Amino acid sequence: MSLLAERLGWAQKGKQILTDVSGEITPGTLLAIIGPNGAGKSSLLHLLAGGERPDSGTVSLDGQLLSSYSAASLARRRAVLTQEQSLLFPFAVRDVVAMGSLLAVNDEDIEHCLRYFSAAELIDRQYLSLSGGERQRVQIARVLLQLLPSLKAGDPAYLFLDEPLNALDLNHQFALMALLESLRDRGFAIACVIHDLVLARRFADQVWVLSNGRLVAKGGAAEVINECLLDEVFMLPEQPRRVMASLLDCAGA
Amino acid sequence: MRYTANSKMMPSAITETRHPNAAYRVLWLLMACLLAALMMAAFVGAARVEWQHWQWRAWQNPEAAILWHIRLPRLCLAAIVGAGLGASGAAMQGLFRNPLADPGLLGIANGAALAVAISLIAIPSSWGLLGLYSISIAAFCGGLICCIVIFLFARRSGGGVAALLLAGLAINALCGAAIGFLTYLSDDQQLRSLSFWTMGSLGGALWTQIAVCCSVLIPALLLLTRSARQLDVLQLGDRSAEYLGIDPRQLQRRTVILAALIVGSCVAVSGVIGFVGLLVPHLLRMLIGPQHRWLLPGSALLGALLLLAADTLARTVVAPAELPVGVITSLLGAPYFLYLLLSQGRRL
Repeated sequence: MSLLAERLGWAQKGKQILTDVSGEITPGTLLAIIGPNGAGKSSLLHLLAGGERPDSGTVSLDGQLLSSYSAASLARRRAVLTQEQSLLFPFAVRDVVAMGSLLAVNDEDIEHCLRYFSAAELIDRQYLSLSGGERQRVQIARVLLQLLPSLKAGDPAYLFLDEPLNALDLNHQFALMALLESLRDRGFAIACVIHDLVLARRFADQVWVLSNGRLVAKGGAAEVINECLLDEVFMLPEQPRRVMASLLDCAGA
Repeated sequence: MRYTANSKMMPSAITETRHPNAAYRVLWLLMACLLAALMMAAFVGAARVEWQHWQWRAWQNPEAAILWHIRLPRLCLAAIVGAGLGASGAAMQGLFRNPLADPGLLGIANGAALAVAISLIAIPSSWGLLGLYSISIAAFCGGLICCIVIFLFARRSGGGVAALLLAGLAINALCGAAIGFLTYLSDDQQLRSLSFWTMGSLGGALWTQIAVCCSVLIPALLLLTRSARQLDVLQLGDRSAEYLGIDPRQLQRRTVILAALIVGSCVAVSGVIGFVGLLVPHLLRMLIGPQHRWLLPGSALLGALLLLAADTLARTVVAPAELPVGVITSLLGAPYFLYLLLSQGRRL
């Protein structure tokens, strides 16, 4: 049981976004995908989640090509938090969370998912009246609702998150990472595009580093996220590099 | 170590949302209002109508004939066209994820009117049921083409509100120019029919027209409400909807076709009546929230009520003469549209 990406290549509008990316995500791992802006992290996440088809290479889930699954059966096994912000109508938070399932949803489940992330008090508010961080928490509850049947049944499922820490305050950033850890402990496979290297170092089991569309390093958080990475991939100048390196040391301790 | 976030209670005064039961009640209330308005409107007008004219035996009586052959079909047509315009407006706003979408503003109604105009000039009038359907088909095709053009444009331009409205403006101008050209080509009889379609009127309604309109509109409305839940989810964005198991392209295609069918069948019998599709879903969203399973049937009911009221006003204000109903809806809708533009100004 795993999600296997083999030699993925993907171009858009004539520009090569990803080249020759291979890797495997197994249940019970928390994977952080890191890299500078424009490295192709979000694109890779969408390819892995089946939102886009690769130009070359394959993505397979449990030995079967991802493209051979129907949209509905895939929706039962993996959920994706995108960076899309397109809600313009005054939906209640309750309605937004309920969008996580195409079936009828009861209030109990909605509250349950909001409570995972201490957002239960938002349930009767209007989504558009929320702050950016509150919206993000509601969206995460929506994504959790999609996988709630798997969570209840104890089946492993895949969770893809594109920059989930956006707009969250420090408290909620840690709360989210703790939540992801607990989901991982229940057998979920989580892939998460993340910019915060300290949190990645502290919480991730696996780290993939993308640079210019290529997977330049992968492995355990402690071995991959180090001063050499800050220098070669992120090209940090010396002083901030030293500050970051000491922060990373603290996170790893 | 476990981290938990603070969970302080937040004040939520005006931002509280309404419970589904409230939406249910509003729909029943709208239905009751619509029935009451239909009854009341039957008694209002240039000719006096009494209770006894409602009897089946009173058919021979001229006043009863006015009631049964002129007024009642007109009221029913107003309600049906209003329902169609309201619901198609709600569906299009959902489809474009844009509260300013309206069949009239985006040029879809005008596209349908242009197709009707072409068919009127090109095909010599062959009335009867077949003729009525051919007008509906022409209107549907015209509406569909404009709807697809606008939709593709919206997708390419990234769905900006301003771009969408400007594209609608261009399509309206193009259709207006083409209709103007056809007016120049047409003879007297054709000119009368043409001006009827471009002005928008519910006068001269026939029971057969109502039957034709209903035969298209009711199935289309029912099919539209079946995708209500999916239209809700589509609001999250195409990609998010796809990840939830929806095929956004198929949903969009289906909604475009159904909305064009509804607008086409409305334009075929009543011409271009603007702003109902903009006004109605907007008002209703404030009352019952944006969920399409309530919004679509609610917009149909409120649209019917609004157009019925507007038409009753149009035929009574200057009786025995009458105003085109499009004038009344525009008088109501255009200031509201301006208000919406102002309130959305920052997002355009």
